[in-house]
This record gives sequence, C-alpha cells and structure tokens, in this order.
Amino acid sequence: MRFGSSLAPTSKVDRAAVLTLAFADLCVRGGERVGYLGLTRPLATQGVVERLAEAIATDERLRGPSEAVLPPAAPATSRSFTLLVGDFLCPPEETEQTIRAIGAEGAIGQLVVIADPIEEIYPFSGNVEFRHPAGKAWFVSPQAQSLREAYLGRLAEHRARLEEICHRLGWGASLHRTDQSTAEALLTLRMRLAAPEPSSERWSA
Amino acid sequence: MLGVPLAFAAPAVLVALVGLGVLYYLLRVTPPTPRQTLFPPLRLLLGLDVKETEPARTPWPILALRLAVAALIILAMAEPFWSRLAATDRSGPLLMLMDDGWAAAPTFEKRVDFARQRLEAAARAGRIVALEPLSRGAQDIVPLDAAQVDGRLRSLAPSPFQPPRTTALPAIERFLTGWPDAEVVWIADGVEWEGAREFSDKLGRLAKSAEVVTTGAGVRAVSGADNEAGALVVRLTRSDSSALAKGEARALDSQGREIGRTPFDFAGQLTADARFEFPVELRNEVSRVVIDGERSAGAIWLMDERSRRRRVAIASGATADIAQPLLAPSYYLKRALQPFADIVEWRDSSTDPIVALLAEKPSVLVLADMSVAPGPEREAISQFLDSGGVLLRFAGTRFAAGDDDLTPTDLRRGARLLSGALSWERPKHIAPFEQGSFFHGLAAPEEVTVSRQVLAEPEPGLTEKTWARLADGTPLVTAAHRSKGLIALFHVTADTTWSNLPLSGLFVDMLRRIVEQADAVAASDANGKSTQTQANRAPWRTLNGFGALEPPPAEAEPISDNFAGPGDAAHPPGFYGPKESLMAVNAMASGQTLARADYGPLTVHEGALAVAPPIDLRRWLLLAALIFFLIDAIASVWLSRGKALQRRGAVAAAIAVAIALCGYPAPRPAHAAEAAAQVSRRDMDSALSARLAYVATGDAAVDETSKEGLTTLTQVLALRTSAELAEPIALNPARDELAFYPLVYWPVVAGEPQPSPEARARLAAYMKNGGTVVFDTRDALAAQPDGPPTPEGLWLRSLLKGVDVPQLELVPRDHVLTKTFYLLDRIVGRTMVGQTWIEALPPPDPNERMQRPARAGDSVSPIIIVSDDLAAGWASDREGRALFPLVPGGARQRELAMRTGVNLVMYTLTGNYKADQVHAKDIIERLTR
Repeated sequence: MRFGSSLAPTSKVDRAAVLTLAFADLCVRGGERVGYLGLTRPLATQGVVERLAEAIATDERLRGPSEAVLPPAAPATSRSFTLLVGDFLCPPEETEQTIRAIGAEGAIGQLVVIADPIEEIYPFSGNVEFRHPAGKAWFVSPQAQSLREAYLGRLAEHRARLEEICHRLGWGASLHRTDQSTAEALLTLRMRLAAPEPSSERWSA
Repeated sequence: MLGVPLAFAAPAVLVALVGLGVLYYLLRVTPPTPRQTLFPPLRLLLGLDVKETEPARTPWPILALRLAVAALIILAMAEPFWSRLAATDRSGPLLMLMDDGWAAAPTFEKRVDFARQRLEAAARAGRIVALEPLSRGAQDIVPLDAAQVDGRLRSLAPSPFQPPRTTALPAIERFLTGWPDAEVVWIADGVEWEGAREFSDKLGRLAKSAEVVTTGAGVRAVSGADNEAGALVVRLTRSDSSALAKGEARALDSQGREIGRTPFDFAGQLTADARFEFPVELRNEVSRVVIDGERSAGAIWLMDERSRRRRVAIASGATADIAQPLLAPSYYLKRALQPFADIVEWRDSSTDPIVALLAEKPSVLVLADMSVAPGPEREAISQFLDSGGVLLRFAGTRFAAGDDDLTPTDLRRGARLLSGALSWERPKHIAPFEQGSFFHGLAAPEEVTVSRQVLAEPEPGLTEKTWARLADGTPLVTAAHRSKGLIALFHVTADTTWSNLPLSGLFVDMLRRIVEQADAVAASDANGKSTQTQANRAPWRTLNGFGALEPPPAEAEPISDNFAGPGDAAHPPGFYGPKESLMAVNAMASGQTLARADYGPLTVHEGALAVAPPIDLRRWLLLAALIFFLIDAIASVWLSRGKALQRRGAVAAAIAVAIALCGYPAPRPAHAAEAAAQVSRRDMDSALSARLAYVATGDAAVDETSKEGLTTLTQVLALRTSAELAEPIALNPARDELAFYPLVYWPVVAGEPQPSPEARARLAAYMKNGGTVVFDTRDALAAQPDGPPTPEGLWLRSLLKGVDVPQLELVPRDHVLTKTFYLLDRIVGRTMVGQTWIEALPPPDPNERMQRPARAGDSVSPIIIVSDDLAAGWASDREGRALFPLVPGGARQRELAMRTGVNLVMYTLTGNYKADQVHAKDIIERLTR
C-alpha cells in the first residue's frame, strides 16, 4: 500500500486514508456513528476525523507501520456497514476469509480496491526487474512487454474473483485508481450508503 | 602500408582483431543490466510463463562502442606509428651503402637512424634489404632479415680511417647481378676522399636506381700541428664551406687533461689555423689537439716526440765573434735551428757557461769548436748525457787542438786539409746517404763541399757510428751512444770556414733530424739502430672512429719508424711503439685538405638524413579507447536508470578514471611556486585597509576574547576618532605576514607551546621595522611587583629570548602614551593594578625651562607589555553589553579601559606627534602675544 508510482499523484495508502476519513466525516454529518475497526468504538462526535486520525497515528506509533494486507478478522457488530479500503492484492481466498469473519454477525459493507495506475497500465518494456515493495521477491523479465497480455489477464481474473466474492457475501465492491478524483470515489460510497442493498453494478475503472 | 604512411611495429597482434567477431557475439547475447522497478502486484506476475522468443539484445550503439574499444586496444597493442617512410611505394630489394669512415662519425647516429628507418620500413613492406658499410671491403653482401636489421645497425661503428670505397665495388656488383632491380641508397659522408667521384660513376653504371643521401653539412678535421717558434700552430681544414666556421681547438696532454683552448675561424676558407701560444714546456706537453665538439678521428691530431719543440743550447768556443756575426758558428746554428727549436745561447755574463746552459734543461747541447776541460763543465755534460741528452759537436781549430773524450770516436788530432794552396786534393762532396743511415732520405746536394775536416781514427765499428760520409768514405758526421745520451760530431765547423755545408738546406735537415732524435734517444734501444726500417712499433693505443683512444683492435699491425701518411685499415691512427717513445699516426696526412665530394651522375639528397621520427599512435588509440569506455559506462548507467545501478555505474566510471589517471599521469602544472609567490587575498585586504590584529594563541576562549575586545575597540575608535579601521584579524606569526598591521595584540597564554623560530624571527623583524606588539600577560591580579615571575611572565621571557628587545621601563606618568587622545593616569583593562612596560624614553632634559607635560622618544615603542587584560576590558557584545566583569568594576573603569585602548591605537598610529600637540596651548599663546 505504501507505493506510489511516478504516474500517480500520491501513494495508495495516503489515498486510502483520505478516502476513509472523508467517508467517516460524511457519515457522522449524516447522523451515524463511525468507528475504526479494531481501534475505536463507534463515535458520533463532531471531530471524528481528528479522533480517528489520532487513533491511527497512535496505533502506528505504538506498533510501528503496519504491513498487514488485510484488516484484523474480528466481527463487526450486527447491522453495521463496513468499509474496507485496500489494494487486496493477496490471494482472493484470504480476502474472502476476512470478509466472512467481519460479517459473521451480520454486518455488510463495501470493498474499495485502490490501485496505482502503473498496475493497471503495465507500461513496461525491455529488460525489467520487478521487485515487491515489501518483500525480497523479485522477477526479471528480459522482455517485459511480452508479459503484458498475460498480466492484464491475470489482473482481470483477480478482480473478477474479488467481485464474485463480494457479490456472494452481499458486499459491494468498487475500484479506485489513485490518479482519479477522490471525490468520485466518495460519491460512489455515498451512493452505496443511500442504497445499502448489494449493488449489481460492475467494476468501473 | 597500402600507400598510407601507417605501419605497425607488432603487426602480429592484429590477428586478435579476428576475436572481435567472437566479442560481437558475446556482447550481443549478454543483455544489459535490467531496469529495476517496484511493482506491488508482483504476485500476479510470478507464475507467468516467460516466453522468450529472442534474448534481450545489447543496443547496437553500445555494441558498436564496445567493439570499438576492443578494436582500438588491439590496434594500440600492435604499436602503430605514422611515418612518412612507410608510404614509399618502391618495391624490389633495397641495398643500403654506408660510408663509415671517420668523416661520417660526427653524424653517425643520425645516419644509423636514417638507415634503420629506411631498412625497417622496407623490411616491413616485404622487400629484401641489405646493408653494406663500405669499410667492409670485398666481402659478399648478404640480405638481412627484418629482425637482423636492428642488431646489424647497432653493431656499426665508424672506422678511424677513410676506407677505400672501390674495394667494395665487386661485392656490390655481385649483389646487383643477383637482384638487378635493387634500389641503392648510399649514405655518403660528403667528403672527397678515396675516389668518391670514381666510385659514384661506377655505382651509377651498376645500379638501376641509386641515390646519395648526405647531411650536406661537411666535416672539419685537423691536418697538422707545428710547433713553431712561440706557438703551436694547428692546421684545420673543412670539406665544405657550410661546415661550422667558428669553433675552438683544445690541446690535451697525454692523460687527456686540457692544457688550453683557442678559438679559430675559417672565415669562408676551407683551411684555417689555430694558434696555441704557450710556453714551450707546456707546448711540449701537448699530446693531441682536438676540435672541440667535433667527434671524429679526423678532428684529432696526435702528436709524438717528433713534433715536440726542443730546446737547444749553443755554446761556442769563439768568444769574439759578436763583432762579425757571419764568421761566428753560432750564427749559422741559430739560423738553422730556429724554425724547429728554441735556442738558448751562451751569454758572456755567466762564469761557467756550459753549466749555466745545462741548467736551462735543453734537449740538445751544441758545442761549436770547443773542447771541454775536465772539471765542473765535464761533470755537467756527463750528467746531461746520463739523463739522455744529445751532445752535438762541431769541429774547428780549437776542437782539433783540444783533447777530450766526449767524441763518438777517437779522432786524429789536427785537421785534414783537402784544398788549399798546399794541397793537391779537391774539396770533397758528400756521399749519398745510404740505406740504414740516420740521414737516409735526405738528398746530398752536389754543391756542398768540404774543404777541411777532422779525421776519425780507423777502428772497428766506425762504420756503424758514421751517419754521413764524404765521397771518399771518410766520416763527416759520426755519432755514438754514451750512457743514455748521444754524442754526434760534425767533422767540420759550424761556420763556413771548413765547408759550405752550413749554408745548405741539408744542414737544416740534418740538424732537424738530430734534434728530433733528442729525448727519443733515451728510450731507444742502443742496439736497435740498424732495425729502423722494420715494422717494430706495435700499436699502443689507437683512435676509434669517434676520436677516442682505445686499446688497439686485433687487426692493427705494427709500423716501422719511418711510417708516413695517414692511417689505414691495417694501421689505424693512434700511438705506436714502446710506451716511452710513442710515434703518432694520424687520420689525416699532414697538410692534407678536404674537399666537397662530387657524386657525378647520382641523385644527391642533401640534408635528407633528418627524417621526421615516426609518430607513435599508441597513446592516442588508448586515449580514444578510454574515452569510448567512459562514454559506454555513462550510457550504461543512463540506460538502466536504477538508483543502485547509478551508484555502481559511478563506481565503474570512477575506476575508469582512476585507470586513466594511472596510465596517463597528467603533467603536473607547476602552479605551486606561482601560488607561493602570489600575494594572498588576506594579505591584499590587510595591505589595503588598516586594521588591528591579534595573535591567535590556540586557546579558543582567549582568542574569542581578543577578537571581541578588538572589535569593540575598533567600533569605539570609529565613533570617537578619525581612525576608522577594518575588522580585526587573527594572526599566526609563524605563517602570516605581520607588516600590514600597526598594532598586534598578543595575549600570553602560559600553557601554549612557544612559537617556532621562524615566527620569532618574523616577530623580531616586525618589531625592528616599526611595528608595535602589545603583550598582555593578563596576570595583574596574580603578579606582585618584585615578586616571583608568573607563568605568563616566564613564557613571555622565553619568547623574547631571541628577539631584540629595547630597554624597558614602567610607563612614566608623562609618557606620550597617556596623552595621545585622552589624558590618562594609568593603563586600565579588566583590572587596573598591573604594571605596564614600554621602551625606555631618554631622561627629561634638565635644562628645559618648563617641565613638558609629555615626553616621547623618536619612534613608537616596538613593544608594550601590559598585564591588565585589555581585551577583556574592552570586550562587549553587539548591544554594547560588557562580556566580562571588571575588577574592581564600574562604568567608569570600562570607559577608562576604552580610553586606554584608544590611546594605545593613537600612540601606534601617530607616534610622538601628540607629544608636540600637547604644547598647542603654549604655542597659540605665544603666537597671539
């Protein structure tokens, strides 16, 4: 998540934080209570943005920057709406397990997949060594352009799997690219709140 | 090579260029380092099948660059060079003839270089090459390998004689019949000798193409040296008027030490003389004469016993001859001997004439018609003979009457009268000198007649003793060795009374032979008189072609005593014979002249020996390779824009640069000396604006205090006085020039090491030249008057040990220092109890009518020693707040400290001028009165 390519104005984790806090603020103004899963209880105060930001910062300071791909698999309270923001590049099965654990008591929610434009476009050619930002894994392709089709196919398959999982569990899913407008993503969420039923809309990129 | 003046010294290396193909393949399949990128969805890629239809390729510009680097290095290893000779388009064999006589010696290296370049260029071009030094004579000419050329050329040396060229013609002819299309290049010496014209005519007929290459400079040589009266005259000759006209000739003794040198000038002629005007003893020491700077056997003239100038003492029995000189035997002797000998004559003034004459150490003593009485004279002559002298006697009436044994043979006393009124006989002629006679070779002229003579007693061995005889066989000149010396007797008088021999040229020649024999007789074998024509003189030292004396070569043969003429192959120039009486053979015949050679039909290239040396291209190729390599390194970095890679690339580039610097050390610019001579910026600033200075002691706190104190003082000065000074400056007396600063403040820190002797010397010079140093011991509170010295005091004492310090005194109340700007009672700093020392003033004038309020010396005191810590008293921060508490304290004390500082600076800037100004009041009063 802590990755931002030269094509994107910001890193994925920053965009995710902005999106989350803006959505929290939106909800509180709408009279809802908002909590950060695993960090705070649901709050309805005016300064929810500050509270949540403070909670995130404190958590980060206490435990160090988290490299976790998925949120803690703790159940959210019944009938609550859960927003999960992330890149969800781990195997879809792990994502499914987490969603199932969160929704164990009847919570529903929305999955917002943040993607860097470079992941979508795959603008590579020639001799390229790909490295994972967190790990030591790497992959060398002497002719990166030859993998483009295969990669995009796999990416589409991965997304389809996620969508299928969400759809199955009654969650919604949307895609947000960091080079796109945050407002647009927020509007999507706002719409989703207004129509809490699982939507049948397709991925929009 | 192919018409391009490019050749390779190691062309075999070029085979490695084939390896470029392999390199091309390897470079092509070795991909460049991949570009690195972060990619979060790496997991999606991981399983992908890498379908490589073709391997990654090195981009072609890089490929070309790297191949170029490799090619350049291979080319450089082949040692290419650019040479005009490489471009000759001639083919067929090349026969190089070389003159290697001494005339070629001065420019021999140039000739060899030329031959080497031509031969190597031809050998590289695959032509048959052969080299024939013309001194080798009739030996067959064998073609050389390219590898042999260098060794062959190295083994060449000029010969000390001029070899006859024609002996080489048969060999050349044989070679040219084998290779009729051969190109003949003759590196000639340009001197007409041994038939240059004849040789070139024949060569022109034999060879299809022949050219002559000469230096066109000509040579200079010595063709004789004559020991004339008063001077040693050296005859010089040159082959060409383009040879250097001016020069110096040097005379060396037998050990090679220089006796003297003298300039000569050909002045447009082909011959010149150089005169050595030395005393005869020095001239006789001269063993060779050389032309300075001319390295050849011809430019050296060896001199032996024969060319020595003898001193001949003449004593005559006739005492009253002076009135009628033509009747005196000494007159004829003098005239005959003068051209080749120095004459010492008997003067009447001496009481013991012969002893006096022999004291002058003559080689020959001539006694004309004089008998020797037993006594000191007899003793002296015996000694003279024992030491190898030549006693030459002439008969006469007194001689005939006398009776002594200093004659070669027993004589019949009384003379034989051959003609006259009472004689029937006719005057006798001289018989020709027979073979083996001492005078052999001289002509016996018909007109010489002898009318009277003394006769020798017939005895066995008389024939051997006889050097010359009359036509009837009676001896005219007899000689015999006595002890180491020689006694020769002319059986006639030295004047014309008995014969007209003294009037003839023969007389001169006979005397010359006898005188030349002097000194040599001592060494010659007494029994060897009849072996003179045999070659009995073995070579002792011979000249090489460059004119250096060396042990003789194996082929040098002995010479006979009457060997004449220049040296040749069998008799190289040099010294011959027993070491005691060496005989010289020279490369030039005496009086020979040189001339410019005429090469007739052959093409002559004059001055063509100076071929531009080939330019070695190796360094440029390697440089180009290096540049390409750097470009490649930069391009590689640029192509793989990863951060880590950039670093690696930078390292590679750095290594490349390091290699480059190792291989080509850039000429270190000699800027260091210039920089030292340049005035530093700081000195320039200090010279342009006056400023206070303090010595940086090394104690940071003290230095900071000094700086702040002086800065404050500078501000105060600018506010209150017209002294607007620049920022104070810290000095290191060991390094900095002090001359720019009117006042140097030196706080004494006891713990610091003493400055270096240079610093001390600088300080002394500064004080001597009018600077003022204020030493501040800052120990006013610790020190007691007349108490033990404080550490600071001791430190200062040892500092000033080597410095010229004037007599000091405590600052008197009326010292001008206390009056220069403010009227002060005492020196005040952080404390106000210390003592201040200053150069002692002359005592006040007791005759002064009124006591002057201020006194001053003639100049500013070079040294002021204070102890009140002045800088701390002045120091304040930017807002003007004091940085140090004063003792006892108070605003008044600070003000006084400032005034002290102002007065100090004013004192150093104005000197004793203020001492007069304090009288202004009185002066004005006096003016208004």
